[in-house]
Amino acid sequence: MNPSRFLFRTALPNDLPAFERFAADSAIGITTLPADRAKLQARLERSAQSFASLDDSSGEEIYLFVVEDLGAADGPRVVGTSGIAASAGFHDRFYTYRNEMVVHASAALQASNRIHTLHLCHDLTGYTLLTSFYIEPAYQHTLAPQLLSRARLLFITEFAERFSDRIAAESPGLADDSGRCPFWDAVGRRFFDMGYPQVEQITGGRSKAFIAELMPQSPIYVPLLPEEAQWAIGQLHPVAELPFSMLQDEGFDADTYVDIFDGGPIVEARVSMLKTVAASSRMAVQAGEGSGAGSRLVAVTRRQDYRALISGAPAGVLDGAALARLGLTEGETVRTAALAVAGDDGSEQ
Amino acid sequence: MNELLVRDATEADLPEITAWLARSQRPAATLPQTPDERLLVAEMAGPPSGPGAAAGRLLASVRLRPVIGVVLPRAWYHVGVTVHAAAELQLFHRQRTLLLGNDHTGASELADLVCAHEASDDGHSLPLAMQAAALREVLLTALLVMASRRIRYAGTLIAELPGLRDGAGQSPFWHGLGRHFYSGDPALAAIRHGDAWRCHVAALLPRQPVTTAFLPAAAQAAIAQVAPSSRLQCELLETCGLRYSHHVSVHDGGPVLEADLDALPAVTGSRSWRLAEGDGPGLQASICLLLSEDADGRLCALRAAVSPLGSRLQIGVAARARLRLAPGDTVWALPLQDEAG
Repeated sequence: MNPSRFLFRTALPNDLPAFERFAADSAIGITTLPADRAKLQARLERSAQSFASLDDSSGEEIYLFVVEDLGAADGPRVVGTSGIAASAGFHDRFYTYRNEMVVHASAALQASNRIHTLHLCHDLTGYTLLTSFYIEPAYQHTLAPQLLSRARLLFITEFAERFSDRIAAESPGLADDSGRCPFWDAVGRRFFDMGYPQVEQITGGRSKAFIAELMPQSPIYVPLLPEEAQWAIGQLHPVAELPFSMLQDEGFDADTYVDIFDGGPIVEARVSMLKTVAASSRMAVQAGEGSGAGSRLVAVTRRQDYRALISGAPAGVLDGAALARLGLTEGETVRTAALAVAGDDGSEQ
Repeated sequence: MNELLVRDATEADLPEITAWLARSQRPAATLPQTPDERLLVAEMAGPPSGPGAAAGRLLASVRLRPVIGVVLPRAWYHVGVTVHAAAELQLFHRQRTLLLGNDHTGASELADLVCAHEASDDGHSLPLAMQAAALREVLLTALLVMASRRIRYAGTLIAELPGLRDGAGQSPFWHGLGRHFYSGDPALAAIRHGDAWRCHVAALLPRQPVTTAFLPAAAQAAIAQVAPSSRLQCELLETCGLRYSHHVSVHDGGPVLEADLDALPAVTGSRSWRLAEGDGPGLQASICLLLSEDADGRLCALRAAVSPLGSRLQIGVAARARLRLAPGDTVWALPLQDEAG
């Protein structure tokens, strides 16, 4: 599939049917895509307000994007979404478990044990959070997921004052189709006596901190958990493999934090250290043809009606069609970064 | 009731005490290491012809430690409660927690309170009443020892009781918690290091509070439960005024009982007397537990009929002989009102 057929843009209120499709199809655990029309609509409205809000952001903004396949057989089609929450846990504390190792030793007993513990913490409170990633299965092997995941990093780079200099992303942990989750069963269920989907329902979509505060505040000694739950710590739900691997390629660290409910990995990084961010630069765009050394992400630098696409042209050059899709005229500024993924141009950076 | 005599244990008593201790997988008995540590034994009193003939059958023993945890730290779990409540969700969960600590450091300890199970070499079991009487005698004697040398013992007294074991001798508490932090065999460690193994193993155990909900049901159920074989000891300690201190042993979850030494009836109700001249108690005799110490520092305790004569105490010749006392000597006496006459 020619990557130039994909357009990354701000999500609009009339994308609601596409969001409903995504929510119905996404795994339990992606709570930022609730299977509830009213909630989705509210999120889209909140996103629209965020894009429109003045420059001194409050931190509670969420920004939702979609990727559209402009070359789909029956006309342009929204095939995926991704989002950004400006500040994790804005209204409350953002809880995660931090993996820590403690070594207990007794010289007399000639024993030394490395014990894995999970510490309930607020370390990631205030971090910018990447959320809501979903791509239709038919597009998983195209460059659409790259555009969806990475163009939002260009948005964060461009509007850095709206975001933290640190960034994190949650990924759903292991759960079966009925929502049974080994980590929740071994940890949270002991304090709630109900399944995780049920807990989400009764808490009425309010902050997870509400639930976290009902859980033990002291560290959990992992060896005391059933083996199945120990295994689930930091394990991904299979649906999240693609977005997770893209985050790892970006330079996110996945070793330190896990979700307090399903044990899924939470990746984090300094924004400036991410590959796409570090490699991006601003330049004035010229109209032209021709192909460059490899594909590039090219994004506008305006906040409203934010757009990005993948171009094969040299840096700073876009053909007429691409300029039109981005709503740009020659001479305007873009932010661009080499796409450079394995299998795309044969190189990997 | 047969007469009992309590005295300091000797080398010759150790094998038998060790055999009693082995029933609850406790390390072998050793003689006291410091002057104020005592290993007391109760035995059937011998013929009343003289103290030398009193080498009767051993029935019970107890170790009295003046201070614990100050050389080798001792650890226990404090059993606490954390409440997780959310009124709107109608959630109210009381969670038990275990917090490792050295809370009883500096206390005095009654340890290894054990008794014989067989009446004699024919293997017949010792009647429960006899076991209770022997245990009670060593226990009260230990309290009198502390009362009579009050300054050498701490204000707090504890006693750690053996926890539950399954048919194979395994502790469900250890299985659910301790073994995840020390994979060695606790029984072997106890043989190798004696009581000190509990100190060594504490260095490997969780330092942060453990919510017991994370433990298997059998381990949770074993917290602060006394082994059936030590229930009698538990009741006797409680009768003496000790109470569950919300602490348990790190290795088997057995309860730790605690008391303020100066509030115990055996301490507040006992005092020193000088023995009167004469060869027997008067008509107003009552029964006391009497504790004596000879010139070599050897202790001896037994119950006898006594009657006060002015500021002195009259006792019978036989009792005085067994206590190795003469008129004018001092004796520590605890009236046993429930068994008067």
